[in-house]
Amino acid sequence: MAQVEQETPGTLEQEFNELARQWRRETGIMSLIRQKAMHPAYQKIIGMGRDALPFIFLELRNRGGDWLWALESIARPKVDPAQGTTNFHDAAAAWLKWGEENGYA
Amino acid sequence: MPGDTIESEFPRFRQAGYSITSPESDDYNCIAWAAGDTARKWDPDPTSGRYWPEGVPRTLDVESFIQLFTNKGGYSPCDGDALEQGFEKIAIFMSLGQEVTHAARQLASGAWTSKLGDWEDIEHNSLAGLESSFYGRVAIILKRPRLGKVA
Repeated sequence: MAQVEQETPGTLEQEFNELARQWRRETGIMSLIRQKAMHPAYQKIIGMGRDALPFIFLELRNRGGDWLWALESIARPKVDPAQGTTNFHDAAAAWLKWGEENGYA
Repeated sequence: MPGDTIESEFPRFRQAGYSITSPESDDYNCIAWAAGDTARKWDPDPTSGRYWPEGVPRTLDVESFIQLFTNKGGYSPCDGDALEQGFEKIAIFMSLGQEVTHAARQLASGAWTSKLGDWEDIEHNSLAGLESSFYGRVAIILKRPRLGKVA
């Protein structure tokens, strides 16, 4: 009988980290988020859905980077947490606060 | 990035010539650098959380970037990339998919300066060196009187 391999938190985190590394490496020459976000590794991370949110928030907190596009795509909150912010630092902080309040960060 | 990585991405630089002029940084991007801002990234995507001036369309169409530099920077379209004494030029690159990918700014020497994504700033002798599968080709050149001391 074939065994179904269950995704453990460890392997999911490893998968995220590998995809994030690949994305950073292969989009280094890009300047604009829309083009960075179209990279297959970034799209795979979005495809991981809400399971990816804790890893994205950790990455955003520790290294920064263009993760707001992925957060918006995955979380789809009714009210944009970054609404009214005027710079990236405040927008990222607003998303991190949303992540904490919703148990992802 | 090591020089061989830059040359791998932009093979024409091997002959066209370039030099690295800054450390790597993801604090600002090529559009910000072309506009003279090293404090933040400029990006029209509203989800990016990045800076984009009020009143400029939030698209990657070249027309949006022309509006950015003409309405907010005082540039106007011009014919070529040759150095014109007393003028500063900006070159906007566009991909085959018709999206803006990059902007470079001409220095008073006639050389060009570019921020390569999250990599370093470089000084390069020609715009052709940047033509590549991702950056595409120059879509338009804009110019304005060089600020400060004008010859």
